[in-house]
Amino acid sequence: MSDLSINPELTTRILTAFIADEVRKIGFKKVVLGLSGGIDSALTAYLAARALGPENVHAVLMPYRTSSADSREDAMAVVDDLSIPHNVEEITPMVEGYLASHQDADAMRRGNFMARQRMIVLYDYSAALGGLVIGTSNKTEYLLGYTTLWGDSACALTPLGDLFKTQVRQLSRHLGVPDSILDKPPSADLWAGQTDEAEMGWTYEEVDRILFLLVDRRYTLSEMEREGYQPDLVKRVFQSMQRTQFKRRLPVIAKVSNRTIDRDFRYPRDWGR
Amino acid sequence: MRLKLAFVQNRPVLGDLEGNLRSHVLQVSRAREAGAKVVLFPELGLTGYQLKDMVPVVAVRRDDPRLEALREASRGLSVIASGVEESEDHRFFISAFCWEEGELTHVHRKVYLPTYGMFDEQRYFAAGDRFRTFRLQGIPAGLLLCEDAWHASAPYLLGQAGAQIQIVLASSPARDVSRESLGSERSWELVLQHTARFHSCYTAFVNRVGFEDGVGYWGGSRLLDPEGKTVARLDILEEGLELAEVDTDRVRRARMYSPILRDEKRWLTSAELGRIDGE
Repeated sequence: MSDLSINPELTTRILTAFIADEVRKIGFKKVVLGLSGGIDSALTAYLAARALGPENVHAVLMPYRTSSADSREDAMAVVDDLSIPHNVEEITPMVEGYLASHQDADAMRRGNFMARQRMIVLYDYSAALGGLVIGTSNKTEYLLGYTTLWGDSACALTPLGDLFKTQVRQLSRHLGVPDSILDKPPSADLWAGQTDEAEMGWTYEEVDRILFLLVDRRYTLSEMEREGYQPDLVKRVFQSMQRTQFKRRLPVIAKVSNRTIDRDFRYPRDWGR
Repeated sequence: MRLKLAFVQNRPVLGDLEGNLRSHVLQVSRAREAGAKVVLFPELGLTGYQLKDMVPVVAVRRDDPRLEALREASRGLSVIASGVEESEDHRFFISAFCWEEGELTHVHRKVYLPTYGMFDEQRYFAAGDRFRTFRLQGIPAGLLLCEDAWHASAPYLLGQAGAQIQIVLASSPARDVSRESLGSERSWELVLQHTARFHSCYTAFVNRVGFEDGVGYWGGSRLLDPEGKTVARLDILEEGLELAEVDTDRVRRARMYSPILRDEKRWLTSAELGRIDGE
């Protein structure tokens, strides 16, 4: 069974309750979010606006000179539809300041540098406005490691982290995310014409079904093969997941004492909250 | 005999025993004003659930002076609440306490500690070793803590010991959004209906709400009558306090129409268990 459909109303109730609870109990009432024009950050904005009220969701648009004009228009459509406060922060001068003297940097280095520059801007807004940085990564991206470590992965809470990309689409449709965002191919928009699916070599429909069976249902590779999945593709997906495990964990700490953080010093994040 | 139960579906603060105690006392007085004779709180309502290394910090002895206000609040009614209990030999239990008329009348220590998937209870807690009934405002009753209710033998033993009300205190996480209602709610419905019908008893379920480290507790506290019908239900994910009535005449009628309790062959169960164990 690999039906990934979700009950959108029930999911919305849980996710909005999650945002309101986890933000307010640590003494905040606002969130700050990077709005890219893509579906993940759009959906996160819709959920946060429902949970906290639109006035408490601050969107920051952070285009680079190569970002597509459509992205900006789509992000503005979300800002307008939700009536949330926003700012535009061009990251081009900040990024160029470094890359000008590092002309040899390839597309991946440049992309990662931009993602981390956006993180720096968001955390400054966090301090300036007193809002938590809300993350926009989904379960598919987390499991495949398709994020920039300490870049777009940096945040205080992440409501979509347990939803596969295809489920993000379902929920977005339900919550009224603009059609132009629903219909376009997902892209990190690091260079013109980039799409996630072309870069990764599989479609989200395919990879979500595989991840769902491997992770949620704990199928073995041979069970996957019996179900008719291509062993090569399944293996590639599995290896992406395994290879990027470090991105889903805190840095590894060398144990020398009797009580080491997260090893035998064990407290929940919501300690005393 | 009729008895008004108050279901307090609350949102404990993780690790804040004093704060949670204060809010318990407040809820007891609200329930009293509404006419409740019994006030029910969720599993670990006094401490929160994902305690980890906080377990010894929030633990109380049965006669802990910090429980005084809650014990005092039980004058004129019964209060059933749950926290971490420390025994004389310094083991820690997930316990449910019943105070009635200012006295501690019953303690149930959780027997089945889930330690799989998202649960890690055996790492931190010792397990209880008995299921016993007690008198709740004169009516034979039994207490179960969350996972206890998933072992068919637990409600069975309480049923055989004469419980007319089985009360399940829970910290049940919200999971599975693939259908009309939550997966957690659908499975619990089955378990609770099973308990009510198979033992012809009222079954009360008190579940908490709020989030801890991203895990949401779904609430949906409810009362099922001795025929397994849900007669009162709180909303999911929201805090709330509601009253529902238990009527022992309905227990009598259910057992009259369907005398499965009378017909139970306990000797057969215990003989067969003895045989299975001997094999």
